[in-house]
Amino acid sequence: MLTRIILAILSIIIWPSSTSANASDVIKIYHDSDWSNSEESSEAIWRGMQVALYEVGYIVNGTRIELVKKNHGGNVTRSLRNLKDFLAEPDALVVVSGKHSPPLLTNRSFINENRIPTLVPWAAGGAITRYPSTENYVFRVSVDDTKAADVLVNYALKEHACHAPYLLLENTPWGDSNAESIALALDKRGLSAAGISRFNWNVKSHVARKIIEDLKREQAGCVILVSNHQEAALIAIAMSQTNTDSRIPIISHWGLSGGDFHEKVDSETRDKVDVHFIQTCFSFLETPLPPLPKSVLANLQSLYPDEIKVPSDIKSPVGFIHAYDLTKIFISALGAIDLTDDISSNRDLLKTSLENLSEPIFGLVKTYDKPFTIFNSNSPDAHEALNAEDICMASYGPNDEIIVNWRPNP
Amino acid sequence: MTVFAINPRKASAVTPGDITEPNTENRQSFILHRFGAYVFISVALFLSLTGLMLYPQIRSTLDNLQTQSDKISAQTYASIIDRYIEDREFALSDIVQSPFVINTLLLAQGERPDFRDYINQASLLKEDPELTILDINADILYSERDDISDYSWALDLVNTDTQHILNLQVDGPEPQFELGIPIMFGRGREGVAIARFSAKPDRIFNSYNTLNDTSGVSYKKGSQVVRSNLSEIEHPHNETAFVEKYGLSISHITSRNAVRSQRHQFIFKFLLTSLVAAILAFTLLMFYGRRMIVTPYLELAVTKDAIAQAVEGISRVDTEGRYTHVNKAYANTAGYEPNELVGKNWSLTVDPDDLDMLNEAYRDMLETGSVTAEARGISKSGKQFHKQVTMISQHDSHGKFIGHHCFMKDISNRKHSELQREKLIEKLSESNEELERFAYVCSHDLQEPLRMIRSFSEKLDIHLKDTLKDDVKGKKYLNFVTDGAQRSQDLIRDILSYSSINSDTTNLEIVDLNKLLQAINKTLCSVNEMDAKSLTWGDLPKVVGNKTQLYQLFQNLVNNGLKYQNPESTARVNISVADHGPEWKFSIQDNGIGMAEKHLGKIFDIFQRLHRRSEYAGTGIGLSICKKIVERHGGKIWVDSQVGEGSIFSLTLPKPYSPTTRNLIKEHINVQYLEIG
Repeated sequence: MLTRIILAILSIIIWPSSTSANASDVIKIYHDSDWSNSEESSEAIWRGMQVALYEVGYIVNGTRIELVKKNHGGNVTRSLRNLKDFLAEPDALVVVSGKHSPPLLTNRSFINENRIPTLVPWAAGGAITRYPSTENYVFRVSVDDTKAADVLVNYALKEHACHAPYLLLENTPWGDSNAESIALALDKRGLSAAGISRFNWNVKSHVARKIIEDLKREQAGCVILVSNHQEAALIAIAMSQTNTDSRIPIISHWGLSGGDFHEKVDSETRDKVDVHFIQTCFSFLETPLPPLPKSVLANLQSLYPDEIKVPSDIKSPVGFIHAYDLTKIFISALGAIDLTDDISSNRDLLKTSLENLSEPIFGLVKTYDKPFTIFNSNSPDAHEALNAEDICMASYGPNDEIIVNWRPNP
Repeated sequence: MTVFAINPRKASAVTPGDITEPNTENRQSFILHRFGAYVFISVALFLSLTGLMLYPQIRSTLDNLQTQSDKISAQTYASIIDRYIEDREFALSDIVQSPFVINTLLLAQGERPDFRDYINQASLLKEDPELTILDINADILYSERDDISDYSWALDLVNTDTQHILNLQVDGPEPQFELGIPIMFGRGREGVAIARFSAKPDRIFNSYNTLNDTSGVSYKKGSQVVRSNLSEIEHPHNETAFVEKYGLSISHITSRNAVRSQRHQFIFKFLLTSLVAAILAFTLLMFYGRRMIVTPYLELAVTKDAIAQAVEGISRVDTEGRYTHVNKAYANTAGYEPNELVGKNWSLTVDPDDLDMLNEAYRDMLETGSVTAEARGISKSGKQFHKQVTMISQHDSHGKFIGHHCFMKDISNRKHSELQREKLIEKLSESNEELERFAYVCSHDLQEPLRMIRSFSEKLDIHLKDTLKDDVKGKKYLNFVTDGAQRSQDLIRDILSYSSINSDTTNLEIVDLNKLLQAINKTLCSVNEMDAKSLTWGDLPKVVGNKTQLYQLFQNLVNNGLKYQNPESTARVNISVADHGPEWKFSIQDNGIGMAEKHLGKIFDIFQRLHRRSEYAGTGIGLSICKKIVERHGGKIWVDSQVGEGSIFSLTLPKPYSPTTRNLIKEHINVQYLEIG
């Protein structure tokens, strides 16, 4: 009896240390996003993760999950620094990126070489998830440019009969990615662009006006715009300032919706120029709202009672939606593994778990039966959770709400 | 005349025509030269002392000025460098704000070959600095430099609030500034832009024309130093450091030789100016000093010499009666030397018998300001002498009595002469009185025997009338006796009358000449009524005089006019009067025989006759009496006449109240002076 008691005491003493030796009590999710220039989108992603984790009580498999904010400010080098911080952090398990493709595209090799599980809720660069190796650690629940280009061209043709769109692309890897994919989409339809202009971040308004003047000379039927909200706002305003006959529709990638575009381009200005942009097809504005979104909205409202009162209060909604879905996928994957005391090993386990999820995961965009598989050259979309049919077109409503109003396959 | 030289040490009597004037000029020249020497020495001494006192101050001031100048220069240099760097910082700021750079930086696309083209195309740089773009890790994204530098220092621009960092690189062929600024994007610092540009002083300052051959600049950052290319600054005079916003320590350097040269130039100019000022001051002092000091001094000296050598004794006596200044003449008059009298009381030179009188005179001087008195003095040897003293009181500017000047003249000789003259006059007067007494007595005493001769000759004529009826000769002789007695009697009477004029004029009264002539006319013309003689006169004035003598005067003149006539003529005499200011002029005009001009001068002499007694009777004294009477009354008498044309006797008599009459009255005690109605 005494022996059993002693053993019991010893087991009690030894158990925690053996547990801690095998796995940490806490794992951290690094959210490396542009909190400087795209705070709205970053906040949307943050809230999406919060609501998803809130649903599980921030604990998965007995491990508490913490969120860590990191700000790369749109700077690839800072993002790289953040990644290095991540590597130095023994509890950091996964990175959830933010808006902007360039940090991911530029640091893709570093990410994969250092085996950093990276979840992408809002970055459309086609190459982000297509690291040519099975050691691909980047997973996306977001729009993929390779699919978005088709949506954009398709929309231009169907809605505006625009056979010669003018391409306005930011001078970044993301712009490069879209230049390639849009050209491919046009070429597939036997079309070609009326012209193409590249512009840099932080472009000035006079440059935007000059771009508009250039595209007017090219007799373009529409503009396909690939930029973030800052530059997109300048382009839209410049377009609204040209004479009525010269105004052409702006068909934009979704970078437009990642910030304060709706504030810089108010509803009165938006009435003067037709601006549509890519969104995933789910919207909290749907009525009636299905049970899951309804529950999610309720949880969101409970977490942010002051900010969120009605669905239209959710700004940059795709960030929230994708982050929620992606976090649920992560939770599911995490729940499927036994964490060790080796964080690197845990990261590998997570990657493997993500590629091998078998249970359906109920998300806002859709139900993910098997969101990711092992990446190889034959399955370029292996780390893409969304398909082309998940991508719609939307526009800002009178109350600055994003209204999804065009679907590729009605 | 005796003239003394000005210089007391040469006080010797020289005669006119001697070298008195040259001596004065020599003395003036001597004083002028001495004055000039004093002025020159004073000015030189003043300037020397001033220079000695001021030189340390001037040197200190020069040093301060140099320091100030260096500071200002250093500030100027600092300002220029600041602006030079700031201009490039502005240009760099333009670059880092460009979308291209932001894009490049954010996306770490430093390897893009069109970077520089874009920058140049944007025309954001004024010149051609070497650009380097660093990321937030201070890793090079883009660089126009070949060498790989360590830019870890730039991390401060990313991780802190540092606005700029300026480094100074002197390792290359040319010193360069290395300026780094953060690249801002959104809310953060996303990288660093670095520009390298020339730090060569000639390039920075030449356009400002600041550097010259004698000054330079150095600036340092940490241990790195850049200096302008100036050999002389190896021996800098002064260095003043300023640390401006870029952390540069900037010094202005002036070469010691240049400072020394400037100082020498300044001192030379100072001395030159001082010399000019000294010459100007000397000239002005000489000019005005000569007018305001030398000339008055000379005049004073001359006056002093003149006083000292004056014939008249001059002394100054204080309020206590002591001599304070005594000239030689004054002292010598009393037999002293001047220094023997100074400090002594003036009574020392006064005869004790006249001391009271002079004390009285002294009191008069105190009341009236000046007084002149004659007194007897006592010389050093006890000898008495006569002196005339004039005392003139002296007062200061407030009117307070401060003493008196005493001018003394030795009048012993004059006094002696006056005594001699008085004695002589007294003798003459006695003689005259005796003579007049004698004449009076003679004439008076002679009348008696003549009267007896005449009386008894008339008796004898009556007695011998029958006897001498036929004795013509006897009658003739008797007539001679009688006539002679008569003439002697007339002559004595006239002499008596003439001699009594002096004493008779003592009785003056107002005489109405109209009444006087009425009496004369009655006397003379009634006697000669058968001759139809006439005497006429106008309205005559009243005069002051002796009535008897005036009666005799006019009677004699009228009688002369009536007497000296051609037998066939009717004698007429007219008396007129004219106003001649203070006197009346009377004209007694007749139609008589007149006189030759040659006789006019002597007819008023006594006993002068122009005609034989057989032609015109008379004693020859009448006109002499007239002249004496007129002169005794303060007038004049003269005659204008031509032969056959008659004569005009003119005489003047003073009007009553005229000065002459007043003097006449004063001279006579027995004045029967009546108010003229």
